Amino acid sequence: MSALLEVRAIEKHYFKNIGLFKKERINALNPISFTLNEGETLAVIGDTGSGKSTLGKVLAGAEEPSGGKIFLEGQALDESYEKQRNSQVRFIFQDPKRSLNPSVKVGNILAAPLRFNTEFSVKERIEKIRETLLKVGLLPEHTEYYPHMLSTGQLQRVALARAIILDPKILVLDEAVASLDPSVRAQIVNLLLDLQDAQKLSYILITHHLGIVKHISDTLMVLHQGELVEYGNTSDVFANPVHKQTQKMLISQDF
Amino acid sequence: MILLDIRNLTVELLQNGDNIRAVDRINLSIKEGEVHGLVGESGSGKSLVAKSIVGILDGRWDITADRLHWQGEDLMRVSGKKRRQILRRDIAMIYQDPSRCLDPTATIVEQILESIPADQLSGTYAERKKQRHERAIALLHKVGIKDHESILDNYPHMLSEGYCQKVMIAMAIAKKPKLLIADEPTTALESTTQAQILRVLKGLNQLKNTSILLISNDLGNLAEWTHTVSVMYCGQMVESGSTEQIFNRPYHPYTQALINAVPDFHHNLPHRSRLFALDGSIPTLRHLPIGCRLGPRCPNAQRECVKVPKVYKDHNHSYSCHHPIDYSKEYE
Amino acid sequence: MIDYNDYQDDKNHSPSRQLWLLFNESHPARIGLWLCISLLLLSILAPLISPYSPYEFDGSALLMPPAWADEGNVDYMLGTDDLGRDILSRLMNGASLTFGLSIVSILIALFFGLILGSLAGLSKGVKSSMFNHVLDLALTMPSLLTAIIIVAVLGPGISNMIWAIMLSSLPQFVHAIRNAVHDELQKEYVIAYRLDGANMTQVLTHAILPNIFEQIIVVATMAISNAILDIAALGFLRLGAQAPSPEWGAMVAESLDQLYSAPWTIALPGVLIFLSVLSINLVGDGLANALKRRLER
Repeated sequence: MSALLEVRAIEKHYFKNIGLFKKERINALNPISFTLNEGETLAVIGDTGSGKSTLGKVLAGAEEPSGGKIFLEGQALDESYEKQRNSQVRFIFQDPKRSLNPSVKVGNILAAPLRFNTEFSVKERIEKIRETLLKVGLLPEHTEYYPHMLSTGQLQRVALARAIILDPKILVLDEAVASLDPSVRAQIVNLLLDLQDAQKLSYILITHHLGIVKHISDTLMVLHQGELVEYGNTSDVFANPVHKQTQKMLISQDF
Repeated sequence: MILLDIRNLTVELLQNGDNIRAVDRINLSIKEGEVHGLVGESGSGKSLVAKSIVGILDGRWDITADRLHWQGEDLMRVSGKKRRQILRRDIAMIYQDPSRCLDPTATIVEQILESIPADQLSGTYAERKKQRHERAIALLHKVGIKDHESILDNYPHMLSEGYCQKVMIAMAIAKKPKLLIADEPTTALESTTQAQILRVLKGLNQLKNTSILLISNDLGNLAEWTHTVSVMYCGQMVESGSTEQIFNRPYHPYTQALINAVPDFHHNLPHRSRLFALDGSIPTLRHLPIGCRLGPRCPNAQRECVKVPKVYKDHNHSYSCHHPIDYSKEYE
Repeated sequence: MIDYNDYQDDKNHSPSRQLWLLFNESHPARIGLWLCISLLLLSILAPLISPYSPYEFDGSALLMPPAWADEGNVDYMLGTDDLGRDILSRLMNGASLTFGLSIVSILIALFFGLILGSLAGLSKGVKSSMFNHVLDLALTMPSLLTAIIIVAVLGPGISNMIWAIMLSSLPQFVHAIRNAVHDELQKEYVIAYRLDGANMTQVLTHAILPNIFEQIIVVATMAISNAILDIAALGFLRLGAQAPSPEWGAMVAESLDQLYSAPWTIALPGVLIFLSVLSINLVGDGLANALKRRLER
C-alpha cells in the first residue's frame, strides 16, 4: 500500500536583501523526506527557528517549497493539482481569533470553502454546514454568530469545522492545541481523536507540548535549525532519544 | 512569617446598574520564602488578583477587601503615597509578554541601569555610575545570562523572548524585592526556555529567599516548582493547599478535572485514550451562573450548588464545594 | 490573561452594528450626521422646494436685507443680492453644486481608487514599489494646486472642475486602499481564505474588502470635506463654477464688492461652507473614533 502522503527532499530557503544588490540565503528548512499513512498522527517538535512552522505551511500550500516534491496518494502535488491539495490537506492556525474573518458570520466562513471547491447547491451547502457543526460539538444556530461572540474554545471548533468540511485526508495543526486553556484543550484533543477514528484523518501536529505529542502521535519528528535530527516511532523516541536537542527538550518537560 | 495576607478580596467591574463581580471574595496568603502557584483558566480573574495587589487597576474597577495585609500593614488603608513606597521597596512584578513590556527605544543596559535603586549605591557620581554598571552585570549573571557583553547594547527586538523575560526578571530583582509576582511568565515561550525561566525563578527563591506568586493557566508547570497552590475558577477560589495536597488529593471536582485534563500527569495513560474534560465552556463574566460558578459544568452538581459554598478547611487545605470528592471509600 | 472582551456590554451585535452604537454614543458625531443628512436632502430637493429660481431677477428688490432686519421683506427670507435674486433660493440650489457635487466626485474617485488600490495592493515586487513611488510623488502636491493646474489646462467650468477634484483626490484613495489591502493580506484569515481555495478576486471581495470597508469610508469623508473646500475655492477664484451659478464659493466672490453695504450676501454662503465642512468632519471623526474603540474591545 502506498502511503497517503509522501514527502521527498522538500526544502525551503529565503533570500534576504543585504545592501542594494547582495542577497543572503537563509535556509529555513533543509531537505526533509518522510511518509504519513492514513489515520496516523505525525508530531513535529522543535524550538523557535527550527523550521517546524515552515514545514507546516509548505505542506498546506501557504508557501511554495524551494525544492522537493510532495505526493498525495501517489499523485504529485504541483500547480495543476493546487485545488485538490486545498481540499485534501487543511491547515489549522494557532490562534482562531486571528484566522477567522471578524466581519463574516460563522455560517459564511464555513460556506466559503464549499463554494470555492465544490459544486454544491445552496441547500446542500446548508446541510453540510449543519452536519459539520454538529460533528465538532457546536449547534446549527452558531451559523448566525460572528466570531467575536464566541469563546476561544468555540472558535477553535469553528476553525476545525472549517478544516474538515471538505472531508480532507490530512489536517496540519500549527500549535492549534497547546495554546488553549487546559480544560478546553482536553475537549479539543478528544474531538480530534474522535474525528480521527470516525473519518480516518491523518494529523500533522506541530507543537511544543510534549504531553500531547506523547499522548496522540504515532511518529515523531524533531527539527533543529531547519535540520531533521530525529525521526521515529513516538514511544521509541521518548524511550531513548538519540540527539542532544531531543534529550534537552525531553528533560525540560521532565519526561 | 506571613508576607501577604488577603481576606475576602472582591474586584468588581463598575457598570451603571449592576456591577460584575470578576473576583469574588478570595483568600490568599503567602509566607516568606514560599512559591505560591495561582492557577486558573482565562477569565478566572487571576491577573486581576495580581493587579489589585499592586494596585494598578484603573477607575473602572472597584476593589474591596476585609484585609489586604503586607507584613502586618493594611494596604487598603494606608495612604497612596505610603502604599507606593511599600510596593516600590518590596514587591516586583513580571509579565507575560516580555518583549512588549520592555521599552523598544532603549537599550537593555539603559533599562537595567534605570531599575537599580539609588539607595543601593554610595560615593561620588563617578563611583555610583561604576557601581551601577557592575550591579547591572551582576543582575544579568544572576538570571543566567553569562555572555552579558553580547546583549547589553542590544534593543529588545534583537533578543529572543526568553532573553527578554530574563532581562525583565533581572530588572524586577534589582531592588531585592521580598515578593515577586510572575504573571504567566512562561506562556509565550518555547518549552526549553520555559524550563530555563522556571529554573531562574526557583534559584531566586532558594538563594535569596524571595517569595514568588506564580500565576499560570496550566497546572502542569507548577507541580515541581511550587510549595502551595491555589486554584481559581471564574473569580472564585476553588481550592487551595500545599502542592502535594492539591495534586494527590484534590477535593474540588474542578481541580481534579484540571489535573486529569493534562496528559503529563498520567504516565500510564493508554495511548490515544480520551482525556477527561469538563463539558461546556468557561462562561463570560456577563453570564456568570449564581452560586458555585462551576455548577453548570460540574459532574457532581446537585441542588445546593446554586448557593455559594462556604470555605471548608482540612488542615491547611481549604476548598469550597458542597460535594467534595470523597476519598473515604478508597480505603474501605 | 484577562480578556477584556468578556466584560463588555454590547458584545452580541454584529460588527457594523457595534460601530453604529459606538458612533451614536458621541453627540457631536450625531449632530454632524443630522446636518449632513439635511444638507444631502437639500442638495437633492433644492430645485423643487426653493421659493424662486436662483437666476430670477427682481428689479424692485435690490440688495434687500434678510427678513428680520428693519428693511427686510418676508417674501425674501434671507434678502436679495445686487441683481435682486433671492439669496435663500440661491443658497439652496448652491447646495447641490458645492455639497452634492463634492460627494458625487468623491464617490467616482473612490470607485476608481478601489480598483487601482486593490490592484496595487495585490501586486508584489518591482511593480508594487514603482506604483508606490509614483503615488508618493502625486501626494506631495497639494490637492487644490493640482486642481488649479488641471482647470488651467482644461479651462474653467463645472465639468472640468469635477474632473479636477476627482483626479486630485484619487492618489490619496489609491494610497490608503493599497496600504489597507497590503496590511490585510498579511492577516491569518486571509491566508486561511487562500488555503480554502479562493482565487485572488474571491480573497479580495470576500475577505479583504469587508474588513477595510469602514476604514475606506473614514478616508472618503475626510476627502469630501476637502473637496467641498476645493470646489468653493475654485468657484471663488472664478476657475470653477461661473458667474450666475449659485455655487457658494462663486457667490462669495461675486458679492465681494458689497462686503460693507450688504454683508449678508457674503456671510450666508460662507456660513454654509463652514457648516457643511464641519458636519462632514464631525461624521468622519466620529466614525474614525468608533472604529478605534471597536478595535480596542
